[in-house]
Amino acid sequence: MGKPARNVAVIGIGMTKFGKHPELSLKDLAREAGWAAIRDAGVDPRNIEVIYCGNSVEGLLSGQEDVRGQVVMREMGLAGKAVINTPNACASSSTSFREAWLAVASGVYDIALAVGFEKLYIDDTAKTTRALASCTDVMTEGNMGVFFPGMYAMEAKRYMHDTGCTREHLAKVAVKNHRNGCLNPHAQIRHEVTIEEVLNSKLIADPLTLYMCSPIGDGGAAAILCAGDIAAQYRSDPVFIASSGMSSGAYQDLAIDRPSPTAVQMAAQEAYEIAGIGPEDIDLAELHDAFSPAELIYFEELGFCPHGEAPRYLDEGRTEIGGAMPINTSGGLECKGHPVGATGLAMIHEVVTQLRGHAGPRQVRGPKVGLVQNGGGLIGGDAAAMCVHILKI
Amino acid sequence: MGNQPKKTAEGLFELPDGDLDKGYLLGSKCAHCGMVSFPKRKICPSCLADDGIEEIPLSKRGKLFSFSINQMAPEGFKAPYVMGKVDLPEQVRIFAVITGCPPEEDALSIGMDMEMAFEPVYRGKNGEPLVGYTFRPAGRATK
Ligand SMILES: [Zn+2]
Repeated sequence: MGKPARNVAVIGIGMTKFGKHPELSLKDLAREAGWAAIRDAGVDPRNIEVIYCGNSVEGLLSGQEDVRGQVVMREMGLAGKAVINTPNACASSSTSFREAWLAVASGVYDIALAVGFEKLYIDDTAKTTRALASCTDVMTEGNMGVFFPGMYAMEAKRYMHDTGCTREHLAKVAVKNHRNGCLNPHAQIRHEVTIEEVLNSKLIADPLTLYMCSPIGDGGAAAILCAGDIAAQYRSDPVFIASSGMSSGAYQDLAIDRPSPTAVQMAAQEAYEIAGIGPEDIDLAELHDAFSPAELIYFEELGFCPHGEAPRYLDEGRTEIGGAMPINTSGGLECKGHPVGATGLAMIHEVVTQLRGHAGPRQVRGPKVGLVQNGGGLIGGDAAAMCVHILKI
Repeated sequence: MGNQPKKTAEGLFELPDGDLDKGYLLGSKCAHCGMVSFPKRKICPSCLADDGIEEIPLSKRGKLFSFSINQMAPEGFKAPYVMGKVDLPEQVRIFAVITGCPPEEDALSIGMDMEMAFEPVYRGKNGEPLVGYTFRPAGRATK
């Protein structure tokens, strides 16, 4: 592994409000997010040279199994350019972002667009659920009764068994993220909840209740990346990409007695190494809290605290907006929403907004370095695709 | 007997004589490093040997690593239903639906002994029952 050949900046970000958007098509969601990023960057869209598109399950929902990015770019007025599709389950648009970074860092391209889009609300919820089950090894897991909340429930149950984490801790994560989501105009869920309300909400798969689970949704998110040395032409406050690490699961189910690092640990190690920094240098992070317990487990795997200590950090308020290590200031997947193909770039949207100091009532004080951890799919008990991006000013 | 029931998937398990009681999971074992894998592999995922990989039947008993009682169900399944991960003595962790106990939290506990069974897991496109592997608490035959 080497260092990127040159520095890359994020000069534009855009996203739609996440939620149920029956009036908007997939193309509308992508156009709205993509053009918001173009306007934010102040870039002439004719100068965009390469486009990376993240979408997960549209093929199974509408039959548009291939060339989804090109179809959307036609709608956006950006036909003719190099378009690369990066389906990777819930990490699809994180993958787009990482590939765009590599394309510009290589020196081949100066300006790239990464855009993620997903429309999960269709008339047939069973169809959406079935499509999402394709984010597994279909033969050995997807067809054998896999149910994503249940997979996380199993992880949570084992984590609680091993560490002393309680149901109240899981509820506290949801309470925090609901509070943050209230402060985010792009968030799908914008109401506060109490610990009791979380614990008494509909049981999905014990210990997970409804308020601990991210909702399905529709949305788009995008970013414009450019070579670091021309970023100042576009804006005075570029955010730089310190690194982007990626892994696929170690599939620990293979050999219980030969433990290997998790997908998060491997992606984080790569990201930290390329950036030349460690977890102690991170000022805030967006973590993949598709379900509340995941925030605690990933917090530990990223090295923010020793194993088993995340519930204590939560109790001490360290992961609050005003705490030492704010997590999911956007409301997280739980409240910002989780239109899977748009999720990664929306997480990047939040960290860029925070680093620019534009997060309004949810602004963290003076952050310099932010981290995004976004995972997709499940194979053999670990993520199929895992991205960890580090952004800095 | 002798009639092979329709399976959920091919290549994962055998049902000798079509007898569900004789069923077993198909794993593979590396002659070089001893690694056992499920599903079976042609290349050892631990030492990457591409020779000396032997197909083996896996143990039918193990310990419950974790479980979930799902109050919602994907297509083909009916809520509430139970799924779990079971650690076999070969150091392989198997994901499967759990049957043979009520879908209640106190029916199961992490670390308890489980035994493998072969039974219809869900229905295929034409409503035909498809046989797959499941686990149930050990020593509680429910036939
Ligand atoms: Zn081997």
